[in-house]
Amino acid sequence: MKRRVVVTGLGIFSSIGSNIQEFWDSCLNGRSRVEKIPEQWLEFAEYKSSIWSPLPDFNGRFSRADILHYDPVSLISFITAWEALESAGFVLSRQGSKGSKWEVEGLDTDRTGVYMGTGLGGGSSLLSNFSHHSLQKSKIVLTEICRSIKDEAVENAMRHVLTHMMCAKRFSPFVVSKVMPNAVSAVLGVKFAINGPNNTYSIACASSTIAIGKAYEAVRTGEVDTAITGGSEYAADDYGAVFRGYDMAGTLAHTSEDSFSANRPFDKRRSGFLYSQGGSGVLILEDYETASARGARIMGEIIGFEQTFDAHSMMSIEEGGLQIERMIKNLLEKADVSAQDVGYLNAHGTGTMNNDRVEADVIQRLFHKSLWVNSTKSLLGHTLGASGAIEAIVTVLTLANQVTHICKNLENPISNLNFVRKSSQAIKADIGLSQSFAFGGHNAALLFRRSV
Amino acid sequence: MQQTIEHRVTQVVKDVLEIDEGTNILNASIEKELAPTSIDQMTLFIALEDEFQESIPPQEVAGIDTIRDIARYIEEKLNSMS
Repeated sequence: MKRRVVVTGLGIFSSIGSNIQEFWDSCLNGRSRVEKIPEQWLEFAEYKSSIWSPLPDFNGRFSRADILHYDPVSLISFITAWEALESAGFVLSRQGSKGSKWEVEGLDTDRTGVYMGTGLGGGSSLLSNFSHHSLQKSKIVLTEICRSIKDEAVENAMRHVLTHMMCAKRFSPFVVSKVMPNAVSAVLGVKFAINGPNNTYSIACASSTIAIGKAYEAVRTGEVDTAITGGSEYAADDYGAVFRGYDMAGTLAHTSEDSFSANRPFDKRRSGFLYSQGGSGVLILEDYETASARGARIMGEIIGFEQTFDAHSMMSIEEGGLQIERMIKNLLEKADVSAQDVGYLNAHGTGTMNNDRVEADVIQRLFHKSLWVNSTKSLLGHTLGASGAIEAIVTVLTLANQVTHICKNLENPISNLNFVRKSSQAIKADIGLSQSFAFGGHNAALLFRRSV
Repeated sequence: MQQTIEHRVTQVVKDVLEIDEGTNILNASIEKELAPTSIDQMTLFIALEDEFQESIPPQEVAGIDTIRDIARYIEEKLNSMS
């Protein structure tokens, strides 16, 4: 059985918008959010990059119990899935007047699956609990010693050390379920009482593209009728350790000058990506018959998914882009679409030296000159495991509205591809492609068709 | 003060255990009626620690079973600190 798979709902939480409307408005107006990294991170290391893209506050939306039970990556998954389900036309009713679980009226929960991606999972909770585990007893001992010290200079030095021993005030009894990557999909099954397959894919920066691909295959083959799919990432910790990891790997935008425009994918002066605190994107997929039968608004259609593996290096893209090229050719062939038919391509476009060069070369080899190309990461930075879902959403919105966003800070393009150079660029495109590449060597791509 | 602490404890219990606002839970048993699972009980006492900025070791609250008794325990603890 091969069924048509349509997109009927979208939800997003990002540094440039807490919902689809805000996000898309920011995209079309070329708005970014770039700030200096938290000052406390500077106490622990020197970095080549000094900027990030922080998220809006979200804790206020949750009960005490939710904040205790879930890592932020799971909480933002819930926010976006709620918006996506509501935008798909489902009525969500709270179970009990103070309940934190929701009934999705009209959804066959046995025939619905959850397919989410995340790169780091609940790493934030792991780090804060590890800090408590390793530091708390020493802090108590040092605090006691401080009280008996007579020498002011020694006492000040010890208090300085104490202020740098940051940790959670307790070791959470829920740390295991907060840290496990599969919490990102499990939280949606629990909160919305979804009983179908429930899977989390952790494939670094390709996580959510692959999650959506797996959801697409499950709907297409009839394993489920509806899929809640996408990805989430939360990449902040008290010490800036995760940021440091990417910084040391040489992947982040250098900010020795002109910090706020340092994020410039596909520009000759690019130096790396803008680190994002995280984000989440969720799409509701349904088979065409199920969606039509309930009168759902169809926002677009997924017509293909393909993935390949470089088998080259854990951290470097293969210079020739041969496996990316093979992936795109297979994707188009299986969907019976020619390269000429593709009008829009949402690039992985990180802004790192090799990634952009290899990606631009492959696009140039395979596609026509008028193909519109942009990088959503030029606006909100790199949300790692969530980026594929957010970029899939941009692709759906671009095709649906026949308009797309600028490839921001692109002043001196590395090639003569048809990069989007202005805000709210009107385009004509019936088919769009969104692709992601990941540390490890994973390549994944989704093909979308405009709904007419 | 007793009423205020009782009120605050009641609010925390209702928030954490998702109990309707109008329900009178002051004399309800935590273990038998309100929070039958150990996860619920752990969540409740952590939330109470956060609310009152006091540690509540499990051995100290063993055997305390109603919301009124918990409020009394917390009041005594706060008084002993002041």
